[in-house]
Amino acid sequence: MHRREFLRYSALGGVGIAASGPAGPLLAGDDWLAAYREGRRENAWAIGLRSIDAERLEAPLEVLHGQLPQGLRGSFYRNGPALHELGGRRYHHWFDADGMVHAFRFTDAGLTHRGRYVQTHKHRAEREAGRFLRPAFGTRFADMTSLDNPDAANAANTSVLPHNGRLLALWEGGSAYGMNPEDLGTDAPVVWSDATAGLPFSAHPSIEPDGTLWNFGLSVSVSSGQLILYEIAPDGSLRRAQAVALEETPMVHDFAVTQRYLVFLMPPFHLQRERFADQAMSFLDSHRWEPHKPMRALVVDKADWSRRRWFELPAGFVFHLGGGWDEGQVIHLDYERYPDPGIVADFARGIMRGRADTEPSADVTGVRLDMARGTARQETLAEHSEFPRLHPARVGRRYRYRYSLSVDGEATHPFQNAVRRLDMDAGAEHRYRFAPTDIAEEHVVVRKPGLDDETAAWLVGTVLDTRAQRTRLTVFDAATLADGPVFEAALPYALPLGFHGNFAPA
Amino acid sequence: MRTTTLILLVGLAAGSAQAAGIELAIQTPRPGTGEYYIAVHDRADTFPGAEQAHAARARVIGASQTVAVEVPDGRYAIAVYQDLNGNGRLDSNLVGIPTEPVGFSRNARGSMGPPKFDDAAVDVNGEHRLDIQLTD
Repeated sequence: MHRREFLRYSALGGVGIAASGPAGPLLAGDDWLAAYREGRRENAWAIGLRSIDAERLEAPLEVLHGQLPQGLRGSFYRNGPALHELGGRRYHHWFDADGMVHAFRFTDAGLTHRGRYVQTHKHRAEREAGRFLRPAFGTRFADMTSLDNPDAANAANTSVLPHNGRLLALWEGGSAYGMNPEDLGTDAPVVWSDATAGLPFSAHPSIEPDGTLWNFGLSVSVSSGQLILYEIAPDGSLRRAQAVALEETPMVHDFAVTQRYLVFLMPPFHLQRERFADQAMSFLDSHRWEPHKPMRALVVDKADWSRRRWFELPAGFVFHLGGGWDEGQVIHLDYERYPDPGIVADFARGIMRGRADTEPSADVTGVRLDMARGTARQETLAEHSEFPRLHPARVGRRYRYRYSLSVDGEATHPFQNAVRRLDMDAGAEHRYRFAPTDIAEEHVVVRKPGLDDETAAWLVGTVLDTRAQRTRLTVFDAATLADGPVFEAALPYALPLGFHGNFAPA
Repeated sequence: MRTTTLILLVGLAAGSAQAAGIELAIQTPRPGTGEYYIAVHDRADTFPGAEQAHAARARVIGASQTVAVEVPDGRYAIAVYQDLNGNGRLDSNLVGIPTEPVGFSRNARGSMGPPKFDDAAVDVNGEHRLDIQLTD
C-alpha cells in the first residue's frame, strides 16, 4: 500500500523540467484530445504520442533485413510513457503517462516483443477509477487529488535497468519499481534501506565496470531540496546513502561518474517550492527559468562525500550527460546542452496536441573542471545530439567514442533521425541517417562478448516508422555504423515514443 | 474491537480553564503493534515539532481504538504516530519523512511537508470527539 504517505514531496519527473506554458489547474473536458486527433490528421509523426489502452502487447517481429548477429542474444528492455489518455482525457505533457516496459527477446528462433504496464500504485488506482487521479509531471487537472508522497504519482516511465536478477523500472521523482525480467510482472517499490524508503531514485543510474551502481535522487520538501546519493554493490545491497542539502531546487535528470568523482550539472531551472506546495500548478509549471543565474556544477568525491566543490558554467539546460573522466586535477565531461528549457516547457507539451511549433536542439558540449584552480570551461563539440551512450566498459573511464542520436538533413518530424558515433579525440564522426519519415529512438551500446574495445559493440535501438506506422528494431555494428543497420525487424504495430533502455545478454 | 483508555495528562497548567476531554478514535493500517504517541499542540509556530502542550501514550490494540485525553478548553492540533519498533521516537528517512504511521486531527494532510496548524486545529469546548486515520 501507500508507503510513507506523509511529510514531504520529492521531485517528480519524466525527464527534466521547465516552467512556462499554460498555468493553473485545468478543467475537465478540455480540448487536448480533440486537438491531438486533429494533429494526427495533419502530422503522421503524431502517432508517436498515441495512447496504448491494452495492459499488454505481444507479437513476433518480422525480419526486414540482415541476420541477427551471432553472439547478440538476450533481452533488450525499453521504457516509455504510454497511457496518455484515460477516461476521455489526455495528458498535456509527454512525460506524464504511465510507463510501459518493453522486452525484445533475441533468440536463435527469432525475435519477439512483449510490453506490459508497470503496475504502480498510481496505475492500479487510476485503472480502477477509470480516470486520472494523481497530479502528473506536467498536468494537474482541477479534480486531481492532492499529493503528500511522491510515489503516489510515480509513473515509472523513464528507463528500465536489469540489475541483480530483476528489472528496475525507473522514474525520476520516486522509488524504482522491481519487475520480473521474464513476464514483466511488477513486484513493489524497491526499498534499499529504511533510511531511503520512498526517496527518489533517478532514471539514470551509472554502473561502473566493477558492477558498482551509483545513483542520485532529488527530494523536495516545502522547506528544502536535497540531493540523495546512493552507492549500491553488485549484489544489490546499499553501501551508502546520504542527503546533501541544496540552496535551490534545480531540475536534475542525469549525472556523470568519473574514477574519483560524481558530477552534477544543475541548470537554473528552479522549482518554486511554495508555489508547488500550494497545489495549484503542476510540478513542471512550478519551475522558473532564471537565465541570469549560472548552471552550477557540483563535484562530489566518491571516497568521501563530505568533500564537495561547486563550479559555475553559463546558464543552459540539460537532461543528459555523455560521461566523464578525471585526469590529475582536471575533470572532463560532456553533455547535451540546450540554451533554455524549451524542450521540456514547450516542445514536450505541444507534441501532445500533435503539434511542434519549435524544434529545440542540443549541442554536444565539453566541460573541463579544474579542481586545482577552481575554474570551469566549456566548448561546443558538435551540433544536434541527444540520448548519448557509452560502451559499458568505459563508464567512469576515459572514452574515445560517444554514441548518440542526431539530426541530419530533411525529416518529416521534429525528432532525431540519425545515429551517430562521435570520435572525441579526432573530432570526426560517423553517422547513419534513416528515412525522412523515420524517428530514431535511443540506441544502446551492447558489447561483443568478451571485448572491451569501444567499437567492438553493437548498437541496438528502435525506430518509429511514421509512414508504415510500425516500430522497427535496428542493430548496427558500431565499427561500421555509417554502413547502416546489419539487422532490422519490425513490429506489426507502432509503439509510442519512449525514452531509455538497456540490454541484458543471455 | 474498541477499547477506551483514559489518560490523565501531567502537562495541565495550574489554574487553567475548565478541563475538557478529547476522545480520539484512532485507526491504523498496522494493527496491534507498538504504542501510539499523541501530541496535543496549542501553538502554530512549533507545530508539529517536539514542543507540544500535552502528550500521551497508549498501547495499540487492534486496528481501531478510542483514547481519551484531558485538556483545558482551547484550540489544538493533534499529531499521532505509531511507534512500531518500541524505540520511543518517530523513525524517519534521510530527509525526515516518517517511516512509521502518522496522522493528524481533522485528518489534515500536508503538501510537501506536514499539514499547517490551522488545517489540523480544532476548538475544544467541553467534550470533543475526533477521528484520526493513521497512514503509512
